[in-house]
Amino acid sequence: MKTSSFKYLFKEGMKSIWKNRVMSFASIGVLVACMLLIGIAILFTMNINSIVGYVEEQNEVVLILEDVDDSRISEIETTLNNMDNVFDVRFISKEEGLIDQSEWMGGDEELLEWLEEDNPLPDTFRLRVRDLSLLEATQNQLAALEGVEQVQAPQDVAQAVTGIKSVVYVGGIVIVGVLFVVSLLIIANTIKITVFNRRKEINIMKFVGATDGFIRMPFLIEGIMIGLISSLLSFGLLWALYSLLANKIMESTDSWISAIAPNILSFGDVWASILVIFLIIGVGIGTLGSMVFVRKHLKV
Amino acid sequence: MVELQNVTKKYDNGTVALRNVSLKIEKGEFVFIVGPSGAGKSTLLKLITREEICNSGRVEVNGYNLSRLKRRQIPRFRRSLGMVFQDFRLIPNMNVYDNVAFALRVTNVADRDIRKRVPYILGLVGLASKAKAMPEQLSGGEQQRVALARSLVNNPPLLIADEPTGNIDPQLSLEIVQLLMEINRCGTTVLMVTHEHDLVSRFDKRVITIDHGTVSNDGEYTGGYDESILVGGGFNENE
Repeated sequence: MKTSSFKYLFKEGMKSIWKNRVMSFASIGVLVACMLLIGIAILFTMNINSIVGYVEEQNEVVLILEDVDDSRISEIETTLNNMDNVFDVRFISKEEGLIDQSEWMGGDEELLEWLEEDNPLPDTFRLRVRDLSLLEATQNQLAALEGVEQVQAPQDVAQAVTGIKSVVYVGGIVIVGVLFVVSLLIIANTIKITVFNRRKEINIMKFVGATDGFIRMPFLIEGIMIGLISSLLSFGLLWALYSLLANKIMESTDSWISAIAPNILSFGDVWASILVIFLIIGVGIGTLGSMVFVRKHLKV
Repeated sequence: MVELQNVTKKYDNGTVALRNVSLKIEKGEFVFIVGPSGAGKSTLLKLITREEICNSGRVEVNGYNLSRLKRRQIPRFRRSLGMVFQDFRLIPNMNVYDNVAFALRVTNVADRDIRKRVPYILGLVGLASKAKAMPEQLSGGEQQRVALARSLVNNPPLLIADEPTGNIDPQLSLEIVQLLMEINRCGTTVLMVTHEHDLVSRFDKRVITIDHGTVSNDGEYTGGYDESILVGGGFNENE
């Protein structure tokens, strides 16, 4: 297709948006609503993940060691540092453990002195697990290490966190999927009406020998433009709404809210991914809708 | 140019519109096609323009065997035809210039060539001064001339006119037919379907009469055919 033809067809597509502006406006409106909901679902999921991730990182796994020598301890430490799902590895010797313990018990000097003579505490490693859903496997791996007597891990927390994550993940996908289909139907309806409004013109085009591609092009452009405009509008709206809400949360003095507030994502952290997602959804729906449904209604 | 061999067309509802029709139109001819309403004239045109496909027989137009034409080849075939209709079929929200340029745009003609070709054709049909007018501002005769300009702008070897004077005053009708004759003199084959007895009788051209789905007469205008042919008195025969 020549550039001059493309320019002409592009202009025709744009004109059509304006000629059918009530319809275009309606579809942009509904698309924006859908994409806002999609955006909210995505941001909600991201924030839940961020908060859950914070909780997840607070886990602590304790490795209680048998009475082994220093060289074995440093071997274990190397192994731990090389494990993918493990981070923040700290060695707590039995002496350090004792100090910790006595501080926790109120810093009783006498008791400390008495215990120092015959320290009942073991050497331990404390570490954190990156992905709690893999906790059990990691725990088994740790228990299998030579010189490790026992592994204490927060199994119940891990289960809760993994559960929340999968619910949020599946829920997010379902919501986004449903809204995507709704948006597609809206675009399809717009295209159907536009095709109907222009049936006379289309008929004439066929008589003068226009190819199918030529007839479809303005509809494709119309669909893409409606998708693009909707993406940008919903991005702007979501930005404004989210920033407003995030500020409210930050300002809140409620104790539980201020506990999670540092883990609320700021729009600045996520704008790029949101914009890309919106553009893909908007332009994708526009393209798909017009390609499929113009073919269906045009019968060219 | 146009050749039908033993063509039969039966619609899905059982109506047999054409029965074993054979006819041949040579390059450069001017042919009137006449016949009463429902005789099969419209079906004949639809077969020639590949809106419909015949059930049996063979239709060849401009070197294309239409029964074998693939869907994607239809646009190319249509570009070798000029078509004019009773109801003009102009696009109402485009001015005269754009209506004519439209036929060139769909065939990927460069803007530069469009700017040369459209004014020339509008001059040919006598509408050079109305290029900016909208179709609704024109008389029926003028609208038909715009349609004619649009059908000719691609230089088609075959022009098909389906009751082109059906919605036009008698004096203006004559002008349109004279214009078609002029176009024919320049080498374009013209096929004109009409109801208008008077008009046909004024010109000494080949007349094909269709009746009950068959060719009942083919030759010079004899003036002697049945009055029933003129049912409808020159008005719509839009099946």
